[in-house]
Amino acid sequence: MKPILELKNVTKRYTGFTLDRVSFALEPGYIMGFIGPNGAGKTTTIKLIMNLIRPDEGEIKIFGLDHRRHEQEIKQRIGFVYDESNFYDTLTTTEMTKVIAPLYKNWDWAAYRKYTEKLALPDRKKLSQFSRGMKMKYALALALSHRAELLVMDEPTSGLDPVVRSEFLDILRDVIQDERCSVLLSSHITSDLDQIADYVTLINGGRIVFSESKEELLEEYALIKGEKSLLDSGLREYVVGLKESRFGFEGLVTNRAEVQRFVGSRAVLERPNLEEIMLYCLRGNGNDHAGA
Amino acid sequence: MITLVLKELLVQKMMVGPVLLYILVFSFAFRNTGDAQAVAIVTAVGYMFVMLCGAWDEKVNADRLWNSLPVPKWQIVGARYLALLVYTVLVAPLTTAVLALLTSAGIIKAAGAASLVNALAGVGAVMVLASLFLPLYFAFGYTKSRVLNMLVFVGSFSLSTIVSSSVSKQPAWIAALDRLGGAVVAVGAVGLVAVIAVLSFFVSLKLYSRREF
Repeated sequence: MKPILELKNVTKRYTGFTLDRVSFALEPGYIMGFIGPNGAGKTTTIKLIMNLIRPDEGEIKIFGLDHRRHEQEIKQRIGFVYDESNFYDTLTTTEMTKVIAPLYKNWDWAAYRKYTEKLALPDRKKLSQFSRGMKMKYALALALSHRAELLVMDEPTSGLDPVVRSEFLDILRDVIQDERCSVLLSSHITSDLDQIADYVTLINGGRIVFSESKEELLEEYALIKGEKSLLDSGLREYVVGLKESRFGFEGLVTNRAEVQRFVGSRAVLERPNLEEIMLYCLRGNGNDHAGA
Repeated sequence: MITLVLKELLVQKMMVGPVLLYILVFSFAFRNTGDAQAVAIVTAVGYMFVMLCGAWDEKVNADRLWNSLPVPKWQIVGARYLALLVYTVLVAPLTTAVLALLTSAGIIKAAGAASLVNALAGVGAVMVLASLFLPLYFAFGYTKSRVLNMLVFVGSFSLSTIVSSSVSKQPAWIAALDRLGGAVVAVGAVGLVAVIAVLSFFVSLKLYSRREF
């Protein structure tokens, strides 16, 4: 199956930061979580995908089309939600929607009404009176009302309270099941992605650390806790990230099955969540002697 | 394109609503400018529109929105020029009416100024001023272009002073224009403004296409 979104060796240079040969692909019908710490290059990558900035090198294909040459055609089929609202505060949602709707060939007023109802969005209220959560929900309603095949979301849940965040994610999950569209969702709140992502791409310092299916990641990696002596008996070569204390160590290892055979009952292996995978992958093998 | 023009006018509801108030204020502010009163009012109100459009777009980082939507850049740029034209063409007869009313009520003396031709000359003036400012705006964004805008504004007024002083001496080219007749001069002026605006549009588009958001 052709990827719906494909980046190949995409590079963007700024003074003091380089997005360095970023490559990953998203298959149709899946949700990809795009994670990384602040300043890792998530927003820069999304800006490149949306053609808001130009790459210095590399290739971006969306729906199999060059993202610059076929920009208008591609944007007809993309929905987007950004980390902050770019809507005019002086307008009501109805006015703002009346401006945006005619720009999409496949705009579906019935879908728009369905989502605004579902999201409890008032139509006569000015956007200046909307909370951040409501603005995000409005952006989601717009993104879903023109039969988009790809949703691009840049930290849509950051700054939202847990209730609104959960509501936002529920709707997103329902939509993906019903509409079968693909999603690239950047977030540093990995618990959101634990719930809904099929694939996870980790970026750090402008470089892709990994881009894999979430299930494979969770099968491949394991959290391990044990005595320090175990580390020097050959375990270190499996360790991705490590936290040592005077009592022992805990860390993330790769090749879970092999490590299980290697350590036997000498250590405890647990299934990690995305946050733990991200933190240990970024931490590396450097000892910080936590808890010492 | 029409949608984007509508957007410009909708966003500026606060400008469209109290426009009568602005015209009244400028009627008094420019009461000593003689026949140029209507030109000055339409220019001032129109230029406020240009600046406020820019300020609102900057406030919400609207470039990111419009450039993420399926809208070609030429429409984003063109809509600003067209919206300004629509807005000032609506303001022109309103200005004439307000000046005529104030004059008939004996509040100000604007008999000569209260003509639609004078007000429409204001449309031309604001289009020329905007044609100087908008390429800077589309190249650098609102905040940076505000400084450059001051230079454009000061430069334009200095130029107009120089032109007025040369008019008072009645140079040969003015006399030649007089001989051509009002209609020919008007058509020529409209043509000249249109050429300036179109050239400005293409420069703005080129500069805007280079920008990153």
